[in-house]
Amino acid sequence: MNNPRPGALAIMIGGALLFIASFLDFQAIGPFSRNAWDIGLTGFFILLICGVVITIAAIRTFAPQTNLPDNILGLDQNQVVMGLGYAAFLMAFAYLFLPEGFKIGSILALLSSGAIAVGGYLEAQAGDPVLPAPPTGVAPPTPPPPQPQQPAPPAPQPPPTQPAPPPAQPAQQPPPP
Amino acid sequence: MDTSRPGPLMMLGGGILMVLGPILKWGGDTSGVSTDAAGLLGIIVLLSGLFILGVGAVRAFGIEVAIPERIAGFTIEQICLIDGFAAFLWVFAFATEDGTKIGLHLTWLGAALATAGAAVAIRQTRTTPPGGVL
Repeated sequence: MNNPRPGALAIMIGGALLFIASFLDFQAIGPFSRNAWDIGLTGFFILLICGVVITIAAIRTFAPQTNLPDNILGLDQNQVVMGLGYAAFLMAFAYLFLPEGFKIGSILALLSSGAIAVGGYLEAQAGDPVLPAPPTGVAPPTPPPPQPQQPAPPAPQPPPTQPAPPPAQPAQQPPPP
Repeated sequence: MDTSRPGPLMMLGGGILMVLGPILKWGGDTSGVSTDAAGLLGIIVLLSGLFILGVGAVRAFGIEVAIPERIAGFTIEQICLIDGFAAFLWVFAFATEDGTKIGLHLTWLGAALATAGAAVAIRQTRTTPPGGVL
Protein backbone atom coordinates (compact mmCIF):
# COMPACT_ATOMS: atom_id res chain seq x y z
CA MET A 1 0.00 0.00 0.00
CA ASN A 2 1.43 3.33 -1.02
CA ASN A 3 1.83 6.09 1.55
CA PRO A 4 -0.68 8.78 0.63
CA ARG A 5 0.83 11.93 -0.74
CA PRO A 6 0.02 15.23 1.00
CA GLY A 7 -2.36 16.22 -1.76
CA ALA A 8 -4.29 12.95 -1.64
CA LEU A 9 -4.38 13.12 2.15
CA ALA A 10 -5.79 16.64 2.04
CA ILE A 11 -8.47 15.53 -0.43
CA MET A 12 -9.56 12.53 1.62
CA ILE A 13 -9.59 14.38 4.94
CA GLY A 14 -11.27 17.40 3.37
CA GLY A 15 -13.93 15.19 1.82
CA ALA A 16 -14.64 13.47 5.12
CA LEU A 17 -14.86 16.79 6.99
CA LEU A 18 -17.12 18.27 4.31
CA PHE A 19 -19.49 15.33 4.72
CA ILE A 20 -19.51 15.83 8.49
CA ALA A 21 -20.08 19.56 8.03
CA SER A 22 -23.21 18.88 6.01
CA PHE A 23 -24.87 17.58 9.19
CA LEU A 24 -23.90 20.61 11.27
CA ASP A 25 -25.86 23.88 11.35
CA PHE A 26 -25.61 25.99 8.21
CA GLN A 27 -28.41 28.46 8.64
CA ALA A 28 -30.25 29.93 11.64
CA ILE A 29 -33.95 30.76 11.28
CA GLY A 30 -35.07 32.29 14.55
CA PRO A 31 -34.78 29.69 17.28
CA PHE A 32 -34.34 26.95 14.73
CA SER A 33 -31.45 26.00 12.51
CA ARG A 34 -31.00 24.11 9.29
CA ASN A 35 -28.18 21.92 8.14
CA ALA A 36 -27.30 21.23 4.52
CA TRP A 37 -29.74 18.33 4.35
CA ASP A 38 -32.60 20.70 5.24
CA ILE A 39 -31.77 23.07 2.36
CA GLY A 40 -33.22 21.33 -0.66
CA LEU A 41 -30.75 19.04 -2.37
CA THR A 42 -27.67 20.75 -0.91
CA GLY A 43 -26.83 17.85 1.40
CA PHE A 44 -27.22 15.34 -1.40
CA PHE A 45 -24.92 17.29 -3.71
CA ILE A 46 -22.35 17.63 -0.93
CA LEU A 47 -22.50 13.85 -0.49
CA LEU A 48 -21.90 13.40 -4.22
CA ILE A 49 -18.92 15.75 -4.18
CA CYS A 50 -17.38 14.02 -1.17
CA GLY A 51 -17.92 10.61 -2.73
CA VAL A 52 -16.29 11.55 -6.01
CA VAL A 53 -13.23 13.30 -4.60
CA ILE A 54 -12.54 10.67 -1.93
CA THR A 55 -12.94 7.89 -4.48
CA ILE A 56 -10.52 9.50 -6.91
CA ALA A 57 -7.92 10.22 -4.22
CA ALA A 58 -8.24 6.76 -2.64
CA ILE A 59 -7.91 4.92 -5.95
CA ARG A 60 -4.90 6.98 -6.98
CA THR A 61 -3.28 6.30 -3.60
CA PHE A 62 -4.14 2.69 -2.78
CA ALA A 63 -4.79 1.22 -6.23
CA PRO A 64 -2.87 3.34 -8.74
CA GLN A 65 -2.93 0.52 -11.30
CA THR A 66 -6.69 1.05 -11.66
CA ASN A 67 -7.54 2.80 -14.90
CA LEU A 68 -9.58 5.86 -14.12
CA PRO A 69 -10.92 7.89 -17.05
CA ASP A 70 -8.39 10.49 -18.09
CA ASN A 71 -10.92 12.89 -19.56
CA ILE A 72 -14.20 13.81 -17.87
CA LEU A 73 -16.03 16.51 -19.86
CA GLY A 74 -12.68 17.96 -20.89
CA LEU A 75 -11.12 17.89 -17.42
CA ASP A 76 -8.49 15.53 -16.10
CA GLN A 77 -8.80 13.88 -12.68
CA ASN A 78 -6.96 16.59 -10.76
CA GLN A 79 -8.98 19.30 -12.44
CA VAL A 80 -12.19 17.47 -11.51
CA VAL A 81 -11.12 17.40 -7.87
CA MET A 82 -10.10 21.07 -7.90
CA GLY A 83 -13.33 22.02 -9.64
CA LEU A 84 -15.53 20.15 -7.17
CA GLY A 85 -13.59 21.61 -4.25
CA TYR A 86 -14.03 25.07 -5.73
CA ALA A 87 -17.78 24.47 -6.19
CA ALA A 88 -18.17 23.41 -2.56
CA PHE A 89 -16.05 26.38 -1.48
CA LEU A 90 -18.34 28.77 -3.36
CA MET A 91 -21.40 27.30 -1.67
CA ALA A 92 -19.88 27.51 1.79
CA PHE A 93 -18.64 31.06 1.15
CA ALA A 94 -22.08 32.14 0.00
CA TYR A 95 -23.68 30.78 3.16
CA LEU A 96 -21.39 32.88 5.35
CA PHE A 97 -23.43 35.95 4.42
CA LEU A 98 -26.89 34.87 5.49
CA PRO A 99 -28.93 37.54 7.31
CA GLU A 100 -28.81 35.75 10.65
CA GLY A 101 -25.10 35.06 10.45
CA PHE A 102 -23.15 31.96 9.74
CA LYS A 103 -22.92 28.74 11.67
CA ILE A 104 -20.28 26.15 12.38
CA GLY A 105 -21.37 24.02 9.43
CA SER A 106 -20.55 26.79 6.96
CA ILE A 107 -17.14 27.38 8.53
CA LEU A 108 -16.19 23.72 8.49
CA ALA A 109 -17.50 23.33 4.94
CA LEU A 110 -15.44 26.33 3.84
CA LEU A 111 -12.23 24.96 5.33
CA SER A 112 -12.74 21.41 4.14
CA SER A 113 -13.66 22.41 0.61
CA GLY A 114 -10.57 24.60 0.53
CA ALA A 115 -8.53 21.58 1.58
CA ILE A 116 -10.04 19.56 -1.28
CA ALA A 117 -9.17 22.24 -3.84
CA VAL A 118 -5.64 22.66 -2.50
CA GLY A 119 -5.19 18.90 -2.39
CA GLY A 120 -6.20 18.66 -6.03
CA TYR A 121 -3.67 21.34 -6.90
CA LEU A 122 -0.90 19.54 -5.00
CA GLU A 123 -1.76 16.29 -6.75
CA ALA A 124 -1.59 18.05 -10.11
CA GLN A 125 1.86 19.38 -9.23
CA ALA A 126 3.04 15.96 -8.03
CA GLY A 127 2.13 14.24 -11.29
CA ASP A 128 0.83 10.71 -11.82
CA PRO A 129 1.09 8.27 -8.92
CA VAL A 130 4.01 5.86 -9.13
CA LEU A 131 3.02 2.25 -9.72
CA PRO A 132 4.05 -0.09 -6.92
CA ALA A 133 7.15 -2.21 -7.53
CA PRO A 134 6.45 -5.86 -8.41
CA PRO A 135 6.87 -8.34 -5.56
CA THR A 136 10.33 -9.91 -5.11
CA GLY A 137 11.05 -13.14 -6.96
CA VAL A 138 9.12 -12.07 -9.97
CA ALA A 139 11.10 -10.90 -12.92
CA PRO A 140 10.10 -7.50 -14.13
CA PRO A 141 8.17 -7.59 -17.36
CA THR A 142 10.45 -7.75 -20.33
CA PRO A 143 10.14 -4.90 -22.73
CA PRO A 144 8.75 -5.78 -26.11
CA PRO A 145 11.36 -6.72 -28.68
CA PRO A 146 12.42 -3.82 -30.84
CA GLN A 147 10.79 -3.69 -34.19
CA PRO A 148 13.10 -4.73 -37.00
CA GLN A 149 14.43 -1.65 -38.52
CA GLN A 150 13.44 -1.00 -42.07
CA PRO A 151 16.39 -0.63 -44.39
CA ALA A 152 17.19 2.94 -44.89
CA PRO A 153 15.89 4.19 -48.18
CA PRO A 154 18.60 4.72 -50.74
CA ALA A 155 19.97 8.16 -50.80
CA PRO A 156 18.48 10.12 -53.63
CA GLN A 157 20.73 10.05 -56.61
CA PRO A 158 21.91 13.47 -57.62
CA PRO A 159 20.64 14.47 -61.00
CA PRO A 160 23.06 13.66 -63.77
CA THR A 161 25.15 16.63 -64.42
CA GLN A 162 24.86 18.04 -67.84
CA PRO A 163 28.17 18.21 -69.69
CA ALA A 164 29.41 21.70 -69.61
CA PRO A 165 28.92 23.37 -72.93
CA PRO A 166 32.13 23.98 -74.79
CA PRO A 167 33.42 27.43 -74.29
CA ALA A 168 32.31 29.77 -76.99
CA GLN A 169 34.95 29.97 -79.69
CA PRO A 170 36.20 33.48 -80.11
CA ALA A 171 35.29 34.97 -83.43
CA GLN A 172 38.02 34.28 -85.94
CA GLN A 173 39.61 37.48 -87.11
CA PRO A 174 40.27 37.56 -90.82
CA PRO A 175 43.95 37.59 -91.64
CA PRO A 176 45.32 41.01 -92.49
CA PRO A 177 45.69 41.68 -96.24
CA MET B 1 -21.15 35.47 -35.66
CA ASP B 2 -19.67 32.03 -35.93
CA THR B 3 -22.67 29.68 -35.97
CA SER B 4 -20.51 26.67 -36.79
CA ARG B 5 -19.39 26.48 -33.16
CA PRO B 6 -22.48 26.11 -30.99
CA GLY B 7 -20.49 25.93 -27.75
CA PRO B 8 -19.81 29.67 -27.43
CA LEU B 9 -23.41 30.47 -28.46
CA MET B 10 -24.73 28.20 -25.71
CA MET B 11 -22.37 29.88 -23.24
CA LEU B 12 -23.66 33.26 -24.37
CA GLY B 13 -27.29 32.26 -23.93
CA GLY B 14 -26.67 30.54 -20.62
CA GLY B 15 -24.72 33.53 -19.35
CA ILE B 16 -27.59 35.86 -20.19
CA LEU B 17 -30.00 33.70 -18.21
CA MET B 18 -27.53 33.50 -15.32
CA VAL B 19 -27.46 37.31 -15.21
CA LEU B 20 -31.22 37.79 -15.57
CA GLY B 21 -32.33 35.01 -13.24
CA PRO B 22 -30.87 36.35 -9.98
CA ILE B 23 -32.39 39.76 -10.67
CA LEU B 24 -35.86 38.20 -10.70
CA LYS B 25 -37.62 36.72 -7.70
CA TRP B 26 -36.41 33.38 -6.43
CA GLY B 27 -38.98 32.85 -3.71
CA GLY B 28 -41.68 34.97 -2.14
CA ASP B 29 -40.70 38.61 -2.61
CA THR B 30 -36.98 37.89 -2.46
CA SER B 31 -34.78 38.23 -5.51
CA GLY B 32 -31.70 36.11 -6.03
CA VAL B 33 -29.28 38.96 -5.39
CA SER B 34 -30.72 39.50 -1.94
CA THR B 35 -28.78 37.87 0.85
CA ASP B 36 -32.09 36.80 2.39
CA ALA B 37 -32.42 34.13 -0.27
CA ALA B 38 -29.16 32.21 -0.02
CA GLY B 39 -26.50 34.57 1.21
CA LEU B 40 -24.17 35.64 -1.57
CA LEU B 41 -25.16 32.78 -3.87
CA GLY B 42 -27.25 34.93 -6.20
CA ILE B 43 -24.54 37.54 -6.55
CA ILE B 44 -21.87 34.90 -7.16
CA VAL B 45 -24.05 33.30 -9.82
CA LEU B 46 -24.67 36.68 -11.44
CA LEU B 47 -20.94 37.44 -11.57
CA SER B 48 -20.23 33.97 -12.96
CA GLY B 49 -22.90 34.58 -15.58
CA LEU B 50 -21.25 37.84 -16.61
CA PHE B 51 -17.93 36.07 -16.99
CA ILE B 52 -19.39 33.19 -19.03
CA LEU B 53 -21.41 35.60 -21.14
CA GLY B 54 -18.29 37.62 -21.88
CA VAL B 55 -16.24 34.58 -22.88
CA GLY B 56 -19.09 33.26 -25.01
CA ALA B 57 -19.48 36.60 -26.79
CA VAL B 58 -15.76 36.88 -27.48
CA ARG B 59 -15.60 33.37 -28.91
CA ALA B 60 -18.88 33.53 -30.83
CA PHE B 61 -18.32 36.93 -32.45
CA GLY B 62 -14.59 36.54 -32.90
CA ILE B 63 -13.88 39.69 -30.92
CA GLU B 64 -10.18 40.22 -30.68
CA VAL B 65 -9.54 40.59 -27.00
CA ALA B 66 -6.44 39.50 -25.18
CA ILE B 67 -7.77 36.66 -23.01
CA PRO B 68 -5.26 34.53 -21.15
CA GLU B 69 -5.42 31.04 -22.56
CA ARG B 70 -4.68 29.36 -19.22
CA ILE B 71 -5.20 30.36 -15.61
CA ALA B 72 -3.75 28.08 -12.92
CA GLY B 73 -3.60 25.24 -15.46
CA PHE B 74 -7.20 25.65 -16.62
CA THR B 75 -8.29 26.93 -20.01
CA ILE B 76 -10.92 29.67 -20.09
CA GLU B 77 -13.54 27.19 -21.31
CA GLN B 78 -12.71 24.83 -18.44
CA ILE B 79 -13.15 27.67 -15.95
CA CYS B 80 -16.53 28.44 -17.52
CA LEU B 81 -17.46 24.75 -17.23
CA ILE B 82 -16.61 24.64 -13.54
CA ASP B 83 -18.31 27.97 -12.80
CA GLY B 84 -21.44 26.98 -14.66
CA PHE B 85 -21.56 23.57 -12.99
CA ALA B 86 -21.09 25.07 -9.52
CA ALA B 87 -23.88 27.59 -10.17
CA PHE B 88 -26.15 24.83 -11.47
CA LEU B 89 -25.55 22.60 -8.44
CA TRP B 90 -26.30 25.11 -5.72
CA VAL B 91 -29.20 26.86 -7.46
CA PHE B 92 -30.83 23.61 -8.56
CA ALA B 93 -30.57 22.46 -4.95
CA PHE B 94 -33.29 25.01 -4.18
CA ALA B 95 -35.51 23.94 -7.07
CA THR B 96 -37.25 21.31 -4.97
CA GLU B 97 -38.14 23.75 -2.21
CA ASP B 98 -41.68 25.06 -1.92
CA GLY B 99 -42.60 28.52 -3.21
CA THR B 100 -39.82 28.92 -5.75
CA LYS B 101 -40.33 31.51 -8.47
CA ILE B 102 -39.37 31.88 -12.13
CA GLY B 103 -36.06 33.63 -11.40
CA LEU B 104 -34.60 30.60 -9.67
CA HIS B 105 -35.61 28.24 -12.44
CA LEU B 106 -34.25 30.54 -15.15
CA THR B 107 -30.98 30.70 -13.24
CA TRP B 108 -30.36 26.97 -12.99
CA LEU B 109 -31.51 26.45 -16.58
CA GLY B 110 -29.05 29.11 -17.71
CA ALA B 111 -26.29 27.54 -15.64
CA ALA B 112 -27.01 24.13 -17.19
CA LEU B 113 -26.93 25.65 -20.67
CA ALA B 114 -23.67 27.47 -19.94
CA THR B 115 -22.10 24.28 -18.58
CA ALA B 116 -23.16 22.30 -21.63
CA GLY B 117 -21.89 25.06 -23.92
CA ALA B 118 -18.51 25.08 -22.21
CA ALA B 119 -18.25 21.29 -22.54
CA VAL B 120 -19.11 21.52 -26.25
CA ALA B 121 -16.58 24.32 -26.71
CA ILE B 122 -13.86 22.27 -25.02
CA ARG B 123 -14.63 19.30 -27.23
CA GLN B 124 -14.61 21.48 -30.35
CA THR B 125 -11.25 22.92 -29.37
CA ARG B 126 -9.80 19.42 -29.02
CA THR B 127 -11.19 18.07 -32.30
CA THR B 128 -10.47 21.05 -34.51
CA PRO B 129 -7.00 20.77 -36.01
CA PRO B 130 -4.72 23.80 -36.09
CA GLY B 131 -5.86 26.23 -38.73
CA GLY B 132 -9.51 25.48 -38.09
CA VAL B 133 -9.94 23.50 -41.29
CA LEU B 134 -11.37 19.98 -41.04
